[in-house]
Amino acid sequence: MNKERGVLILVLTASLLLSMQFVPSANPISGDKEIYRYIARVMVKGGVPYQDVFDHKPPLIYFLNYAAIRLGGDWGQWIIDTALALLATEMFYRLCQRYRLPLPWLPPLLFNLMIRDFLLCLGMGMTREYTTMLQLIFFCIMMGEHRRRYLSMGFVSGLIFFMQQDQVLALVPFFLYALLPAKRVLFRVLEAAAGFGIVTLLVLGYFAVHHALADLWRDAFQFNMTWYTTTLKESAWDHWRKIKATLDQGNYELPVMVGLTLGAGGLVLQHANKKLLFLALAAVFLSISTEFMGGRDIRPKIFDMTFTHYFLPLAASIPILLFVVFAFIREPMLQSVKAQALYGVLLCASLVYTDIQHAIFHNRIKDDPVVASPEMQYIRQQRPGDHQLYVFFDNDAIHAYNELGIIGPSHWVFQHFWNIYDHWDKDLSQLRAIEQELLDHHTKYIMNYGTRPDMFRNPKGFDLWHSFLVQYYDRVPLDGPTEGEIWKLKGG
Amino acid sequence: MNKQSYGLYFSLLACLLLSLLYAPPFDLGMSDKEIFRYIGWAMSKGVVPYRDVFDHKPPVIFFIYAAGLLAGGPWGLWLLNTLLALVTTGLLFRRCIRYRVPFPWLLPLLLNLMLRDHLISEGLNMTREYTSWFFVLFFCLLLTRWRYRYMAMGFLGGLIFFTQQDQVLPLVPFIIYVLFTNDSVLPGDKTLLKRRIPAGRRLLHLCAGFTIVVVPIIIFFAIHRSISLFWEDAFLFNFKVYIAQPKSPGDHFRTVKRVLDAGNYELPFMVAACLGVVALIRPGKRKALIAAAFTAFLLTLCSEFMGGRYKGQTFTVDYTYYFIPVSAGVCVLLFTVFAVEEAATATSLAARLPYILLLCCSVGYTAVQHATHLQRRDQDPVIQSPELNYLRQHRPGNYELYVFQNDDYIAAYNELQILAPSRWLYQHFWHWYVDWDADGAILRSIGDDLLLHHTRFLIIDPANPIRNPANREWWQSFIQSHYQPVPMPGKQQTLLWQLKVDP
Repeated sequence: MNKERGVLILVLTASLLLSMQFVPSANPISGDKEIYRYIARVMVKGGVPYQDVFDHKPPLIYFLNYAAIRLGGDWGQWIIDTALALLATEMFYRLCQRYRLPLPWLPPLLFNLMIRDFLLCLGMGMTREYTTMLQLIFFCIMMGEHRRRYLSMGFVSGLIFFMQQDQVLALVPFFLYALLPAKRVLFRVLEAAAGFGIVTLLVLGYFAVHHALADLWRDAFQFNMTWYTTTLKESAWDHWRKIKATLDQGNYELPVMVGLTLGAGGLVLQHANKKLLFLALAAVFLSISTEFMGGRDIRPKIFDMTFTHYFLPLAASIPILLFVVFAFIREPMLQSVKAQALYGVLLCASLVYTDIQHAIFHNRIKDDPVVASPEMQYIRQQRPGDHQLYVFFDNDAIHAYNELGIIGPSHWVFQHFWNIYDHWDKDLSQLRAIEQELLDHHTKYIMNYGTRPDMFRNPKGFDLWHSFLVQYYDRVPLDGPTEGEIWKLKGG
Repeated sequence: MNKQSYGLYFSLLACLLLSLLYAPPFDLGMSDKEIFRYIGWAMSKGVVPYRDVFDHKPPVIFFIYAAGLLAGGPWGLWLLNTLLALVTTGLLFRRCIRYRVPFPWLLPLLLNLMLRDHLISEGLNMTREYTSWFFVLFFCLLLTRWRYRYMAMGFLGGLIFFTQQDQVLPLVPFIIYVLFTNDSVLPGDKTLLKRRIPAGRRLLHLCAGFTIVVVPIIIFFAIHRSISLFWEDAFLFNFKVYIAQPKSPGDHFRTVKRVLDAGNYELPFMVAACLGVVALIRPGKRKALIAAAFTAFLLTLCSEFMGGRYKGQTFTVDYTYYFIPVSAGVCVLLFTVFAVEEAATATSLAARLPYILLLCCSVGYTAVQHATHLQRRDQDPVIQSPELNYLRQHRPGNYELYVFQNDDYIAAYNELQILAPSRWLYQHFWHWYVDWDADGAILRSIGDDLLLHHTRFLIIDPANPIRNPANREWWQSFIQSHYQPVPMPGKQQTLLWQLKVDP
């Protein structure tokens, strides 16, 4: 076994070990992931995303979760996720080797450390985790010499677009680099478009067959361009302070600052590919453009860690930037192994610390407050069937459907809009529709977290919801302190 | 005006502007500083530290406050502090020039940015801020050719020891360096070698300098017959009580990480640590000085490791100001690496450019954020509290107000310019330690003092109850017997109690 292969095995082992931190029993619960899993389960039972259940993500994340369920459930997803991380790691390592980086293992290791930073990543299974890995694969393909690389780039960008739309923005600089300057521009554009078209056709074909194209457009696109990105606007400074706070508290500060410093330094020092360096720097900023696409902080002016997973794409854009710096730098001081090792320590130190802390102190999923909550314990004993349980106003508690393997009675599984948008469901018709669905299905239990008037932007919403509960349901006393409530259908 | 002068003026201007962020109307409130200020002010009324008022800090900080307040109140103190900052900044800049450190303004600027980091510093005039300036001065003196430099270094060592004892530890590596190595630190400086001072004489000079500080202090307390109290409160207390609760190495480590991270010290700390390690392992000359600087850098963290001060042993409290000396440790280590290390990475300007950005960006950002969001001291919740407003209207005289279990309200003594009725001004130990004052003798002495002086008002914070059940019971019955709560508008629970009027 030669040295290069040995180092590759070490890097892949590091990637595997870091992925093992989030094996199913230790993968933290997050509302978003529970919804993806739920929708995938709806698909297994013959349902169609958007048509039978609302969410505003593009559809690939549901297909991925569907595949995971078919492959073996939680472990299936872990295998897909880990395999994708290993693939991206190996491709990136080989690229670093091809460009003769003094420490070819450093950027791939940094990628793995960043993407598995538990302070930001919310465990495995977030959309941006997959798009981050795909972004790295895209870059490796772009820098490669495969004759069908433009087709592949288009295909990967299609996957990214239908996984998390905004993340295609980070690809734009690299598309510019790859497509524009050379000869046969049109041919390359067409080839990339063909790759993108393969994904698009498959996705559109699925929804066309299920007569849900309009639903797809309305929920996965229109909704994001109206409600999700145009309301709750924050000032540029607020965004800036949030970026600082999140990078700081998520232990991304050192890699991002070192990466940006070296990137900016490379622009003024001797560097053989300043065009690519400039575009890689632009990609770093575009990779966190989500933060600027509207404010979603329900606690304005509190610059704390919220929506931390918006920063996960930095796990690809920063290692890519470092690769571009180190691969083309001509400044003798930054070419040396020792100088790069010094930066390597700065880049990795805080993340290694974070991962060690997490590996030592990680929480098991059974100890999660949602899983161990009194209301969850009660529901576990009752074991309601399909449509017999409704979870209201807490996305994390959607875990209940998934744990019990059941389907909810309403289209509205993801419902925090009543909590964050002033004008959402102004006439309360959707809330009434939910109530009607509960009555139609004789839904026996409601796990209610909309317990206080201040949780509804529209106070009438709380009045309507509370009076509905009182009229048709009885509150079940629970053992132990909890913010949730269980309501049982009267006479049920 | 040459290029070097521009650099000097830039450093001094930055120092002045950063100090101005903490001018008296904007300085950050902090209970320790209120205690120092109280003792400094009370000394002008004849009060003797330790004898008449308890604190566990060594006395130089009280003398500094007394001098500053005497010179012009809070502005006098600010001026004293800023002058010290300017002198140190100027001297460090000159050393950077002398040792041909590229970008000689960088380290003075970094020192000021770190020392004025509001997330760590708690404003101006903390003990460790002074010891940090003294530490940098000590290091600058080490690099001079002045024949009395060792005496001056001993003098600064004395000042540090009697300002904050634990901060002499970072001096130890340099003292060892001074005593056991050639006293020339300038590569190839033959003039210095000619003036070499023998090691024995260096030690004598150091001791003489230290004595210059010790003697007046001892004389002061001897004249006031309080040497034993000085010894008990400023030294024994710290060993017996203050560092008595152990904290696991893991907890200490996590605290270090958290504070460096939250205080935006992480980048300069990590850069200095990495460069220091590289300089140590790389073949080259002057390893002894680099080793001394690196050890001193680590020792600036010593306060954190000198025992845990858990609040009630249920959760760790991160004392951010314990990390103020890291600012001096970082700058001294970086100076040593940049000036003495001859290896390639440290000599190229291009190689240093990224470091400049990395060292200054996060603390520069912190300073800009602080400067653009200054809060006036009089907007502090304690200063604006209904209790203090009430006291402003009813103005108690000397001994007529006592603050118990909330050191932040010691600001009331200072604002009203009154003396406290009890020696026990600083008293959170009843809340922290269950075995503190186990027989309740001190607590009863406080009760006696209050009755003796007919103290009209008490500020008591129920959020910090006495941990010892017997003491807690006695204190509550004492309060209920002699005092009644003063209702505060808009507050469910008042902190202010008033002496019951005799029937």
